[in-house]
Amino acid sequence: MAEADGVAATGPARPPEPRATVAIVGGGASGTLTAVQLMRRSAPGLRLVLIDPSPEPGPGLAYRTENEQHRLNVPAGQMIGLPDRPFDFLDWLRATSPETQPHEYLPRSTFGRYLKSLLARTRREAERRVRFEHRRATAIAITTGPGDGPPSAGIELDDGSLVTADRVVLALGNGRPGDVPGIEPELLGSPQYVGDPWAEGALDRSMRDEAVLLIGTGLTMVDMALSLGGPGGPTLHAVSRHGLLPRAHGDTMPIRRRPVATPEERCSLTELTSRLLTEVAIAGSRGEDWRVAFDSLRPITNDLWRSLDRRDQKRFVSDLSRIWGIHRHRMAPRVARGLERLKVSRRLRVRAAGIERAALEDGRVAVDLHLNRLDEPERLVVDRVINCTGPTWDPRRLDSPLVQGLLGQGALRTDGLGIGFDVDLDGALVGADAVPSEGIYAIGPLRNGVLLEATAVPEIGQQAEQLADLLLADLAGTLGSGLSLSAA
Amino acid sequence: MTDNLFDPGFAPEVVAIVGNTRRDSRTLKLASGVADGLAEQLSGTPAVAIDLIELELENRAFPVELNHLVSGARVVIAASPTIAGSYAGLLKLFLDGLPEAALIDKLAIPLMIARQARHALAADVHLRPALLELGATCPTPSLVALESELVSLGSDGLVAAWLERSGTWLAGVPA
Repeated sequence: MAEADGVAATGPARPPEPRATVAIVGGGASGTLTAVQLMRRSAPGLRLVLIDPSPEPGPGLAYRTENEQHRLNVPAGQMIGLPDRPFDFLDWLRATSPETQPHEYLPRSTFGRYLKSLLARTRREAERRVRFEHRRATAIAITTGPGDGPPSAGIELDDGSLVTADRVVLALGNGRPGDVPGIEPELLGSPQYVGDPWAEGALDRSMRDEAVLLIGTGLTMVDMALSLGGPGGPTLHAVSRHGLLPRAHGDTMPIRRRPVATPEERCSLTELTSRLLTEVAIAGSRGEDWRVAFDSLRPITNDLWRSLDRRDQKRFVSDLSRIWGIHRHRMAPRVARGLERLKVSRRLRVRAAGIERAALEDGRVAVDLHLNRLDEPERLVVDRVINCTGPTWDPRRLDSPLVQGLLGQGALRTDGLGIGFDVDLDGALVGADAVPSEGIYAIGPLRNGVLLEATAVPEIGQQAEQLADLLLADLAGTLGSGLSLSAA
Repeated sequence: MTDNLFDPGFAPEVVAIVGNTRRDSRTLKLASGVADGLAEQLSGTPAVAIDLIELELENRAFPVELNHLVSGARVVIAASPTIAGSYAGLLKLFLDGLPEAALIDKLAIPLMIARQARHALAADVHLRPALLELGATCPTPSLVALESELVSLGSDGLVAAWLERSGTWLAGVPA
């Protein structure tokens, strides 16, 4: 069959002259999966520009870490990036290590390598239809054309060049953590404060410290504690308002049950919480795994969230999101064991406390911890303070010139809850005028405010598939109809 | 200590315990409404309403996790329909399973649905003393809904009327 295809034999394939351009800003998991879906589905004539400063797009921030202790938070079999090919990641894994099981919690870098390879493979498969360009730069501004006519956008890059595109997808991923109150400006500007633990080389110096304060007790803290807390590493103090740690996954994958509520019932937050608690109590009295109650909600979380009214959404964000988070976003069993070892050997102490003040003092950092309302603050002296409060998606708090520019232009606004961008159900940015954009879309965790959770690969994979279909349908006038892919 | 939801990290301020032998009862609806409205008048943390009939008994006792939930609450609503002139045995079974003085620093609200006017005092004669015996403070009138009122005012109307009067009292009780 392949021989019959005459084109294959005539040297390197060349795509037709591009008739439409889609630019993707960000080459992490969200950007890569969007690029892959566009290439797989596009009719001939698409130009796809992926804007990302890293030499090789794919892993992004989340799947770049080479630390073997940084594990995926879900088993391999659930890392479904392509909804129509649910076994793609497993197949890829088994090509090199046939023993891999779907319930294993693999190093995050493994998924990063998969994303790279998926992008490369898809580029090859689509090379006769799609012209793919990777621009190694950072987008710093987007200007949209005049109101009439087909929407087009100019994307300014930090290398001085300009990319003109018919559609833009913002795949900015996780923003660096927001600043913590109580930290003196002098400390903020010193190397003894690490504002973004995921920045390249952020932790290098901390290895020689005697004591380190980790602000936050969530999954970011867990990663940092495991990175730093080995033998010879510093003593670690972790604090957060609640002092609650993420729960661990069970050793076996629990069987999914019927969800405790469906979006169609339009339950109130009180009803949802009550039913979830009841389900957990029932599981407890049967000696079953409480995790099933949470996991049953996973496929419908986005819809349940949207079925809540604004008042309940606000109450959830202010009062329940933390408790939901630690039960819903769990640690791999092996990560939990590592953390337990650190706690037992007293290399890590986790406490509920607020930071009243942290300041440089005689070359070290003096931290006054507020343990409760009554007692005097407790003094803690460390060598470094690492902000592990986790990523931000509130556009007002992101220190990206691109985002700040879009906010200033009124092309973007925060969702009403301050946890993400305001977007419509397709992901189109909603600007200050409350009108969804026709040219600029957001994907991945930027959609958190509208969907509650858009951070995990299966959700992002679905968004990428739907967004690719939408963009290609929009561009069908110039590009022709795309390919339809059926489930494998 | 369990590693599931019932731990010190999760302590709703208002907890309703519902002892109706039918699932999804009007008692549950009324109690949820009161709990929700009260929670909003207090700290705003969402309330929970536990429908006892949904749970399973182990050695004739409810899951011990419920005791954690009650001990973390500030306001406990005990809700039941009138059955044979008193409150439901299901609720009694739950109250009997609580540790001694389990409600010592709690505000408790007796809530009952009465089929006929002559049962309207059941909340004050039977349920309130049981709560007091467990150490609770009951600073408000009981919430007694006659079936005829449920029909004419609706659950939401009854909740609103009760909250307007007693809810504001409760909000004024120091924590």
